[in-house]
Amino acid sequence: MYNTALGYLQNVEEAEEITQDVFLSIFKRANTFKGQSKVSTWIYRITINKALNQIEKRNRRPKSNLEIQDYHQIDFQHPGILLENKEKAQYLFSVINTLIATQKTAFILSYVEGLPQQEVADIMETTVKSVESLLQRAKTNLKKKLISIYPEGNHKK
Amino acid sequence: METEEQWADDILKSLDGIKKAEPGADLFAKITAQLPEENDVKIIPLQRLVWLAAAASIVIAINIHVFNTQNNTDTNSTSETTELLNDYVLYKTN
Repeated sequence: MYNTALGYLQNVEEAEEITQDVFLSIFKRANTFKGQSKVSTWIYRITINKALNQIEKRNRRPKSNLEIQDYHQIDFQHPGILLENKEKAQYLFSVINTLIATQKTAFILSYVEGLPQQEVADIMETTVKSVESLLQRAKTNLKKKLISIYPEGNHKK
Repeated sequence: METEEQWADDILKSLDGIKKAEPGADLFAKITAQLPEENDVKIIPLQRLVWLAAAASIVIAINIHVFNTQNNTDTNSTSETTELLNDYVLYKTN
């Protein structure tokens, strides 16, 4: 759940806070689990909702100029990224949050969390076909965004 | 020189081989430290307690009644047996 939260929030402190929050929610609401889905699916749903709420809260809060500057910086490094991909992944993470919530969820669960499409579909309460379509649209939108931030004079190494 | 498209495609592939991020070692301790505080003590509402007390009283009253009735029946049946024994002199009396 920490990895999922980190994928959404791209901030270690916030991801840890959400992880704590999810644990406490599960502890308090364990008796409300109806057993209609896998426990992991239920936990993923709680984590995603809390992460999305946190982003919502973050967006509502008035920001200082410094915070706006920080927000647009391409500096988040996911600790699980292979060393040779670290620089490239920074660009990718900087545009993930421009996606709409459903595309973002499908993308993070599939590519950051590495879940099979069937499990992603179960978590999102949709079909595998819908997940495929969401991923396709997410990739198209991410590509457009990436092209718009293409660094000048970039040469292939 | 690579095109913008190639560059964007490469970026999209940068999550290949990603491993799951692990939280700091102290996170689990922080969570367990919070659990007892979050576990509220359940307080039974007074109204429910009154109902429970009433139900318990009824059960006790029924038990006492059944116990008394049983005792009376036993006493009656003992005296009837004595009378029967006396009537038919089933054993020698000195």
